[in-house]
Amino acid sequence: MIPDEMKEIFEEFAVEAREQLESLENDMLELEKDPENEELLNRAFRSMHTIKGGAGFLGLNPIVEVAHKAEDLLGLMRSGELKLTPEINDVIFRAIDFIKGAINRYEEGEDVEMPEDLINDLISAKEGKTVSKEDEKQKLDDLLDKHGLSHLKGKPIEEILEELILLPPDKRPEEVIKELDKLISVQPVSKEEAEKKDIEASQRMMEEVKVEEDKKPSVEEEKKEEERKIEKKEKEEKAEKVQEQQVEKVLRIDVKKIEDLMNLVGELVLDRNRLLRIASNLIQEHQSKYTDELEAVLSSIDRIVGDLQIAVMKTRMQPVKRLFQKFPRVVRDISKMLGKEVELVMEGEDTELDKSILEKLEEPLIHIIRNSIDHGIEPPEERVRLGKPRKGVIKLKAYYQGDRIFIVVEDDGRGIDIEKVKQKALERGIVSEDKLEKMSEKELLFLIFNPGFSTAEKVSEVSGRGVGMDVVANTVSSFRGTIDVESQRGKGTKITMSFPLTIGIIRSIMVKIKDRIFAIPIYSVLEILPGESTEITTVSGREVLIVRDMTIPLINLSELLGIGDSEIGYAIVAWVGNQRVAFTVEDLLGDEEIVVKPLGKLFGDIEGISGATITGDGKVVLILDLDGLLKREIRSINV
Amino acid sequence: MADIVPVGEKEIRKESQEVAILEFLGITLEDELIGFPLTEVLSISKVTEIVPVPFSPSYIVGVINLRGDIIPILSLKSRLGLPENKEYTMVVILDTSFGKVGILVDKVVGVIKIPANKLEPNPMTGRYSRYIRNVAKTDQGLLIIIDIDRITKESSL
Repeated sequence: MIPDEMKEIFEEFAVEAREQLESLENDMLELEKDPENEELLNRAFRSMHTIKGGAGFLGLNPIVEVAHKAEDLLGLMRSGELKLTPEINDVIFRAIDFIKGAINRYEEGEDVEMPEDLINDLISAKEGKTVSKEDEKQKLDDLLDKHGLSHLKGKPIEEILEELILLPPDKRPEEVIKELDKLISVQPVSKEEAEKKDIEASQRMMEEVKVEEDKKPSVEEEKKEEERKIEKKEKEEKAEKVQEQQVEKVLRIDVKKIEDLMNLVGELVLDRNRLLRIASNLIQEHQSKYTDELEAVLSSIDRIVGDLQIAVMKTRMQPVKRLFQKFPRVVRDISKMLGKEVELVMEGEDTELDKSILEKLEEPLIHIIRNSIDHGIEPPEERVRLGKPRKGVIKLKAYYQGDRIFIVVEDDGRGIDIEKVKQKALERGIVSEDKLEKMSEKELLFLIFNPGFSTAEKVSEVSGRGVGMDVVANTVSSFRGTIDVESQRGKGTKITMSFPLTIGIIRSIMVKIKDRIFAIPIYSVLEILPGESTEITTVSGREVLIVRDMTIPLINLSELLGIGDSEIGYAIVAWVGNQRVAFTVEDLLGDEEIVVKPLGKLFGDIEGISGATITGDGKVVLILDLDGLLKREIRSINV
Repeated sequence: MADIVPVGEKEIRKESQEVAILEFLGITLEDELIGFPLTEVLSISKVTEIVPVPFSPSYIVGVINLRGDIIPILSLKSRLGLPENKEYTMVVILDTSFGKVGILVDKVVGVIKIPANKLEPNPMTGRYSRYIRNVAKTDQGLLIIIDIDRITKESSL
């Protein structure tokens, strides 16, 4: 438990530690490809060290202990005594996961136990390479303690030697040097080139120490050493400073405050719209130099409010990098577990998306990527046989188009087997056989988003959760997003999601049904047809609209919403899920920007109604969710 | 410690030893006198235009706009097993664990003060009694104190 007076410090620590862990995770992934990259090793070591320090200050012992042991490992790698293997990396990743989890639990006010297994594994990961030295090392540590040099414990030999060289000759502890000597002699000789070099270096230094015991230390040598040290230190400090500056540019604000601001701007936008309407009426009726002035001021206010709206929206926007940076690790773990070789290529990480969407997208994306690796990417041997590169590629892309942001997951695997999809859909009783025959390829592909489709999938270690593609589709549509799937046999699968840039304000068509007004978000509306010019027939008891050569299912909104009969003034054709659907309304009242307000906790999520808005004259108008309405309609037919 | 009593403390003590007085907003639904703890009452207003919400249970009459907030409005009569003869005239906005919720009432009686020891446990059993927290005898008749959180919890979808 974190005492109250430490809460603030803990929160700061948590934020910083999470950042450090993210970067550490990425560095470790990079290091797996390039195990001797000194810069990365240094950075990883520093990250772990910083976490250890922060946790130590707060007395979070389990974190300190794990970070300390992991730091030891990284230290050995840095000094070249240990080579990073995927196995060692696994242990380090476990340490990272543990620290992440521990921070979360402390945040929840829980206690965290010392993870003995993990600590033992961290120790044995180290011992695996340095077993013969361990006993001697212990002795060395004891001696260091004895001579008040305990800060050197666990440091690589040459670093200890370096420190000793800096001591005045008469203060250099004889025993320690002897022990170091022994340690160097027990070093196994059958080590990597790099390590050999290091041993040579330390032996050379060792000799120097011995020589220096007799004569006066060479001043020049010492100076050089000092200079090198200072230089190194300066470099490090510089790097740290750059980091600090970056941190200071970011201000943490309570989301609630931003939401309040959003609401106020929302109201302002609505009132501006009203004001503009009134003014334009006024200006039509009276013309004077005052109305000219009014027009000028209004157009300026119009612009400012527009800019303000965008600026406030932007405070909620975050680069998708925040989300994407989790995936190298996800891909690594899943592909390792499934014995696949996969490279993750990410594009457009600076694309920005509303924070609330970003947060909810992690699980769906993990699921899609997991599917790509599990069902898409072939095992390496099979890929070679097929003449494909051994390593599969998964592309994770984000980009803007119009006023929407697109997120794409694309793989170069075997593609979706339509026949299998058909078979599975039949088995699960999702569609009937003759219906299946009539379905287009696209419609068949979309069967994977059907709730019944993936229920058989067990909660596996790979996914961790039993979500199916239907959950993915639902999450996407809950943010007024769209999802599309394209697949080519043998070439791969591409899943494209699109989201509105902002979620607070949407352009909607205001429609009248009977004596009630509803809002229909404009983004999915394809066209609006006047009722008298439309051709309506029935196909197997269902009303459909014939437009040009297309047959579009028709949903009578007043019936579905339970308002009673009303005449069909217009048919609104919209793109819902994967198809065109027409909705009947009595009258159109024009389009407006509306501020979405939730209906409140008491209602929860109502399928078919996505929220409400308050119009300029204070009326409550419900916002229709066409996706949910279609689902209701389909259910009512099937019953 | 206990011996040192600052001036004036004695009187205050004496008062606090007396039974606490609880305040309720009394309203009527048909012939019943019903009380909501005053601490949970946010405001009282006239019934304005209520917009019905499709696909929601019948006791949620709809939503209203209360100074820019969308607030659900509940009709309790059917929930409490009361007939529906009299017309609703007012809305009492309560602060519940599900946020602000408006309750339609026939009439607002006013604030009713009741000493805490005059509260009696609910004597009734049966379908509607689980919504009743306490009852108390008053000059205006038997006051039924409603557990609004229990109603909203069961009303939530």
